[in-house]
Amino acid sequence: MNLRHRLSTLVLATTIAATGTFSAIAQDQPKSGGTLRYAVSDDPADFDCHSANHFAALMRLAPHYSTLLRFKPGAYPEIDGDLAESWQADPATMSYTFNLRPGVKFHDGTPLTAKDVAATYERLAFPPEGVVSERIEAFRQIANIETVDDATVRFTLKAWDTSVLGTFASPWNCVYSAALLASDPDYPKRKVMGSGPYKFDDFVSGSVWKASRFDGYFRPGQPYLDALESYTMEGPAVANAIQAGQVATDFRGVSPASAERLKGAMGEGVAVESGPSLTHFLVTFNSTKRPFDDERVRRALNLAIDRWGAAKALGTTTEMRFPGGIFMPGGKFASSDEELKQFAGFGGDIEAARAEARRLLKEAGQENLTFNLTVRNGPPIVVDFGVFLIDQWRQIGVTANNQVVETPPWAAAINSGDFEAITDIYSALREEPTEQMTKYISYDQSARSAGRFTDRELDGLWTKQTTETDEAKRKELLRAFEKRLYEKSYSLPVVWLERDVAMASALRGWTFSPSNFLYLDQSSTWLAE
Amino acid sequence: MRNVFSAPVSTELLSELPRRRSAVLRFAMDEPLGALGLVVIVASVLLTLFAPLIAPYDPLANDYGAAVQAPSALHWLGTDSFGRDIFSRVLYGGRTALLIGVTASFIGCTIGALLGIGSAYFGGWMDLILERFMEILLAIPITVLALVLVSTLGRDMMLGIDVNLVFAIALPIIPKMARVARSQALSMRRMSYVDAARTLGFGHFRIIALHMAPNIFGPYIVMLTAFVSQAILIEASLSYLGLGVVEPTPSWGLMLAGNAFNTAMTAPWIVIFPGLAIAIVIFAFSMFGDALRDLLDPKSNRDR
Repeated sequence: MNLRHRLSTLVLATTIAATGTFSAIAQDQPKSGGTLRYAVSDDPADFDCHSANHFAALMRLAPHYSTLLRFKPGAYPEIDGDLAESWQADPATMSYTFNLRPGVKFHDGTPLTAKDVAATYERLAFPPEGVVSERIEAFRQIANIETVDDATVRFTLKAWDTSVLGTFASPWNCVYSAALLASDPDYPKRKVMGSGPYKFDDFVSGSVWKASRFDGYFRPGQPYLDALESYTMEGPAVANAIQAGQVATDFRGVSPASAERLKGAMGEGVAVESGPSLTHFLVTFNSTKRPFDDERVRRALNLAIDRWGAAKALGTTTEMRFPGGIFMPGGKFASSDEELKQFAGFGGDIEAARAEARRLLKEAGQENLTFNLTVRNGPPIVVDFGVFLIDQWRQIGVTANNQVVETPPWAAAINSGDFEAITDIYSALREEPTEQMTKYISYDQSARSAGRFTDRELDGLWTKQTTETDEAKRKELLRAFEKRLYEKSYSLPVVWLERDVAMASALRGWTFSPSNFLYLDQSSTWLAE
Repeated sequence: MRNVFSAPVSTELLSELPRRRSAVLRFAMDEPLGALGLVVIVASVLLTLFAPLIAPYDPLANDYGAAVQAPSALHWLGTDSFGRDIFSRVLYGGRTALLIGVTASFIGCTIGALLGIGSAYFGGWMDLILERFMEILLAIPITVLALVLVSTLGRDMMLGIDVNLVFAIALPIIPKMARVARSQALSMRRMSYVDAARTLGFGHFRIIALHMAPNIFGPYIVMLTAFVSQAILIEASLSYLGLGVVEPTPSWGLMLAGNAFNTAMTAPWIVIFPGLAIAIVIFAFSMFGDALRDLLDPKSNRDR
């Protein structure tokens, strides 16, 4: 079965599973009450959604905040209003106008108005000194934010860009209180106070995060649960905790082996939802350091990686299932297998590619290249990915020393550029090239891009596609971007993951999607027992 | 000094041979478990030394076409999720375990012995401070202490060995050895030969190193052997927790970590064989250490 068939089957299976779930939900009326206990693999560095870049932070923070729009539960990737009751897009004036729901309150009882939304987006798009807006490039098209009245806010764009609608639905863009921001622009780092379905109760670092139902939540009847308790744990401990009934799930997912183990051990007591994920593994070379400033060296290391063989083999034991470029394989923006095979590093003949890699290294005077590969000491799959790369490069005579470090020094290395080569994981919110490509453009255009390179041709292609409304022409630009990226080999996508979420069968109302950033506010989640 | 080339070698050596053989035989008869331990240790050392000749595969080579294969004629102990041959990795993993185990135990015991003797010899405030410091170290569980040190110090590779890992394993051994050495040295301190050395004006270092240290060689060698097993176990534990040896270097503890746990239900050979290797070698060192203690401890001999 080729990749396309496998993916189609997976998508179909996901759809069937999801349809089954929704029909089950339709038959079952949501029940109120109960405490949902779930696992989260890490603690947040602080409590600010806008500066956070780790899904573990969002898993804790999302239930406490509302956003302007949201991804509609049960209908991914459809966008729905959250705080906004309705909105109007006007290409002529290049503006979006949002009408807010009446009567929305923050957890402290103060009313949420257009001023709060405007202050939040001012902080995101034009952060004051000292405030970090992690995804600032997503707001680059916003020219002006205007409060029309207490219930209406208008965004004027520099250029017409439909991708911005997804930005308004991003769960990272938690709406904060304008009054609190005025007194301290950094208050969200230390205080959790939003208008989401659950109020913050307590956090014990390395242990548990507790939240309870916000009775003043604006959706009638929601949330269904009395309380949320998320426990910090990762790896095999998660599957053990699910099996023992200590937690209901880890919304990020478990390994396929763990999912199989749980199905075998728990039978109908567990439900596993599987499907392609918007998450992929990549490796980045520091283009400012020798010998990675030499294109031939980076390209040789790219050519040595057998992506097709890897996915076939690694996929049998891990969730590293699909070879792909910078877009989700099988997705609407992805290159076809035939297109991919034309790109450097994706050819079908790995022996020929490795011979070329050896030639390039010889030409660059780096036949016995040795360097350090920085790998985050995260879930086993992250280390496995490093081991895979080391073995691939070993086959062209290159020695990569595995430097496994904990998450803080790994993040510090990415941020400071103190690495030679580093493995990374990138999870997107949705299939949207403008957002996804920010991982692969010049560092001065996007802080997410870790390679420290400057390539105006790549940046130009990225910018052009943001305003291209003809889908075919946009895809041509995307292919041109990919071709250049793989030739220059600054930063390389290697393999895409499958997502397997194992849940206690009593857990209902939660929506499975390819992104592990979505549907984390738990507003529609309920417990059957 | 005897000139071995001119001495009547044949008769002397020939007469010594049965004596040596009988000593080995006596040890085997008196301490059969210890002898068995010694055999296992020697076999382990030989297997790991000659691993490049014995191992059928490169322990680092991934072969995804052969991933998670059960033991067979091709792969005697099966393969892991990277398709790496487990037999080859167990052999090379023995190198890591023995190298780190022996080095850490040697460093810990030697420093501990010198500190213990020095503490007893000088007495007074130095003895008081050293003893309290050793008590503090002893109060912290050995694995916890090593864990804290490794996670604080990070990794520092030298000649293929993580120096910080060796130090982290050696440190908890020091106070245990120091206590034993101190108690032995306390009784030695007032011995006439130590007084004589002092009267002759020998320096402190000379008295400690040449006159006192050789007299605790018995307990030292017993402790050294016993701590090798403990050091191997700590190395395996730290590697299992992701704080010791890193992939793809073969290490028994590391072979039990990561995805091995998840695949263990369907591919038990991935965890059984490295687990067995750890158990067998630790058991062998423990048995040999016990036997040595019985042999070298006069009180123990008298009781028997």
